Amino acid sequence: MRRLIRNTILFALVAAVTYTLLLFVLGDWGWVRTARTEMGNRGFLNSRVKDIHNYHNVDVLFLGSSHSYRTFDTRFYRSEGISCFNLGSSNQTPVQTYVLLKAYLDSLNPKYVVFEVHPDIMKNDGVECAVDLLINTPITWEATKMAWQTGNMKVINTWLYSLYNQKVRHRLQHFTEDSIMDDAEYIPGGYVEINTKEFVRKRYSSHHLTIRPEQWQALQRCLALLKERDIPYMLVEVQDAYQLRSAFKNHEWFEAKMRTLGPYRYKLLPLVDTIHFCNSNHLFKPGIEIFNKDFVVDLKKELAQLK
Amino acid sequence: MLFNSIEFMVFLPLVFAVYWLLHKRLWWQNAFVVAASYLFYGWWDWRFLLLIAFTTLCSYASGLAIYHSSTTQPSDGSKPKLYLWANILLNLTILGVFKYYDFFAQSFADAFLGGNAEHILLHLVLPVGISFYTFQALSYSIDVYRGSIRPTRDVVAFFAYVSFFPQLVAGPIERATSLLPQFERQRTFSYPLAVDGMRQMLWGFFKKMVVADSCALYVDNIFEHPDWFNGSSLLLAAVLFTIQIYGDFSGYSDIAIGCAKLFGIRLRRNFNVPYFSRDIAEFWRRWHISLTTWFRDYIYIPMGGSRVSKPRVALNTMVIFLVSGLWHGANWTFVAWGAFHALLFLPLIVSGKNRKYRDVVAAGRWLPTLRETGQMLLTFLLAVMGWVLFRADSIEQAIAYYSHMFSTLFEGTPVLTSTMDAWVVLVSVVVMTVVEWANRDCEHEFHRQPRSRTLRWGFYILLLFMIGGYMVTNEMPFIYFQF
Repeated sequence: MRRLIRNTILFALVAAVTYTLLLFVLGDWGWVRTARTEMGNRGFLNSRVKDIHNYHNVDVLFLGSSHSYRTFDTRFYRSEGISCFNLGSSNQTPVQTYVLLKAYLDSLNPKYVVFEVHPDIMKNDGVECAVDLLINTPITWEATKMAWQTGNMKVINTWLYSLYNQKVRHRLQHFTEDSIMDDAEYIPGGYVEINTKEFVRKRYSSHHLTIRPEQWQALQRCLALLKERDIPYMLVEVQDAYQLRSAFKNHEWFEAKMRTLGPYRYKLLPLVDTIHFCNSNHLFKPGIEIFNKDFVVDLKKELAQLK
Repeated sequence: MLFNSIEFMVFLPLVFAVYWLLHKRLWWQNAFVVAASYLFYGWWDWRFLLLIAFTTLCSYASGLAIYHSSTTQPSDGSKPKLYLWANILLNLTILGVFKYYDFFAQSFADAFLGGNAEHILLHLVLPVGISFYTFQALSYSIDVYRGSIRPTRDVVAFFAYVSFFPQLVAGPIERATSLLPQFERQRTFSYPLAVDGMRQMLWGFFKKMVVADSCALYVDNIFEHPDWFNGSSLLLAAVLFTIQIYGDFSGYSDIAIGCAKLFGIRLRRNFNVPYFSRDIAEFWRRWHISLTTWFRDYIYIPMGGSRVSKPRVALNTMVIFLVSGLWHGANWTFVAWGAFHALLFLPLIVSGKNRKYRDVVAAGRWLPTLRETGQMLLTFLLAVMGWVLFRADSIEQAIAYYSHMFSTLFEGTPVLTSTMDAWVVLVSVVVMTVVEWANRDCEHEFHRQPRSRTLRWGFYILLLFMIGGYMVTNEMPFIYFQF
C-alpha cells in the first residue's frame, strides 16, 4: 500500500508539471479544445476592464449579460446627466457578476445599480462567461475560487493558461483589443453598439423556465454585497422578441421569484420583432432608443429619491 | 453518481482508504461496500434504493428456500422449482413494470385503440441499472437451483454482491459463482492488481471522455436532422456511432473492472476487441460478453441450444437475439436490431461455422493478412448498419436514414462541423485502435506496457492530457445507463 501511495503521489507531481507545460505550449497554438487561449472578443470585456479605471463614483452601474451591454447605451444616459458604467459581459451569469463586483465595485463606487436578469442566463452554467472573464481580466482570488468551483475542465484549463499568460508573460497588460470587430463597436463606458440587424424568423418550442441553484445563490450574494454598502439596486429584465418571449411557459413564476429579491422591472413595450430587434433576444438600435427613453424616466425617479 | 464526475473523484479515494483500513474485519468491510454502493446509487435517486434492497432480499431468501427445500425433501422437485419461479416472476414483474409496461401499453393502443394510450400509461422513471442488477440477482437463484453454488447465509456479502458500486449500474453482469465467493473471503491488497486497475480505469476514461463523447458531438447533430445532410455524412455518423457506443460502453466496463481491482475484486471481462472480429459470430463472442453469456447459459442452453434440430436451432437463435434486443430498451428499434443480427448469425449457426474463429486475429503477427482485413472490415460494416437501428428513435426514422444515406451517398463529401473536433476524433480513434490492436491477445485492452517507467508514465500523462485537454466538457452520461 505504501508503494502505491508513494508512486501515486510521485506520478501526480510529474503529471501535473507535464500537463501544465503541454497546456502552455499547445495552448499558444490554439490546439487545446478545452481551453480558451485567445484574448479579446465581441463582448469587449478586455476593453471594458481597461476602461473601468477612467470611471469613479458613478451614478449608475449596469450589470448583466449582453442584454445589458447591448441595451443600456451609456452615451444616452450621460446625455441625460447620469454618469454611468456598463460592466456587462457575454453570457454573464450572477456567478461571474459576483467576481466582477468584488474586483471593481469599490473603485466604481456607484450610487445605484441596475442588475439585468434574464431567464436564459439564470439557467446557464456560466462556462462561456467564466472563460471570457479569466482570459480577459486580471486573475483575482475570487476568480480563482470561481474557476475551481465550476469543476469544468475548460474553465480550469483557461484559468491555468491565463495565470501563465498574466503572471509570467504579462500578455494581458500588453494586449490591446480592437474597438471595432465585425459589426460591433466598443463605446467608452462599456456599451457595445451593433450595426447589423440579423433578425431571422424562428419557431421556438415552448418550454418551462428554470433557475440553476448556484445562479440563484450567486445572485443573492451579489445583492448582499450591494446591501452591505447601502447601494440601492433594481433588477431589470430587458424584453425579448415576441417569437422567443411567447415560448416561455411560466414567465410569471420567474417574475415572482425575482420580486422576492427586491425591486424588479419587466415592462413590455410595443416593439415589433422585425423592426426593433437585432435577433430574438437582443434589441436593435430603434428598439434600444425606445427602451432607454422609457427606462430613464424610472431611473431618474430612483436617483431623485437618493438625493 | 457518474464515473466521469467530480463527486466520483472524491468518493473513490475516500472509499478506497476506508475499505483497506477495515481489511482485517471482513463483515465490516462488506458492510462498508454496501453502504458506499448505496450512497453511489442513491446520489442519483435514493428512492430506488428500496427497489434494489427488495430485489436483493427476495433473491437471498429464494436461494435459501430453494436449497432447504431440495435438501430436506430431495425427492420432491416441485418446491425448489416453485421458489425459483416465484423469484424469477417477481424480478421480471418489477423489471417489466418499470421498463416495458408503457411500451407494450402504447403498442397495444397503437394497434387497437387508435394510439390513444394516455389513460393507461404509468410514466414511471426507469431506475438506472435495473436490467443489470435484476439479471445478476436472477442468476444467483438459478445457479442455486441448478446446484452450481450453495446459497450464502451471509446477507451482507450477498448485498455486496448485488450492489457492488463499480458494476451496479451498467455491468459487467456478474455471476454469483465468481463474485460472491470473493465477498465471502478476506481480500488482501495487491500492488500489481491495483496498478493494473488504475491503468485500466485510465484507458476507460480515455475511451469514454475523449473517443466516445467526441464522436457523440457529430453523431447527435446528424441523427437529429438526418435529412439536412448528404449520404456520406450519414454514413460517417453511423460509423462514428459504432465507435461511440464501443468507446462508451467498453470504457465504462474498463472503469468498472479497473475500479474493482483497486478493492481486490476481479470482475469478468465484458469486451474483447469486438471490432477485430472476422465474422458476426466472433463479434458476439467479444461484445458485451457478460450479457451474451448470460442469455446463452440461462435461456439458449435450457431451450436446447444448438443440440436440437436445425429449425429449432434457428428458432432458439432468433429468440435469443430478439430478447437481447428487447433487453436493451423498450423500443421496436432494439427488437429490429436484434432481428438484424439474428439474420446475420443464422447462416453461420445453421451451417455450423459459428465457432470458426475462436482464436485472436493475426495471432503471433504484427499485421493481419489481406483476407483478415477484408473480413474485419465487412464485419465492422455490418455492425455499422445494425447500429443505425439501435441509435434511431423509431423504425420509421431508421428506414428514412438508410434510404437517405444510400440515395445520396455520392453527393459530396461528409460535412464536418469543426476542424478541431474532426482532429480530436481522428487522433483519438487512431490511438485507441493501435493500442487495442497491440493488446488484442491480453487480459484487457491496456494491459501490455513498456518496461521503461519513463515511457510508461509518458504515455499515461499523454492520455491524461488528452482527457483534460480534449474531453467534451458538457457532462455526458453513459449510453448504457438508460438500459
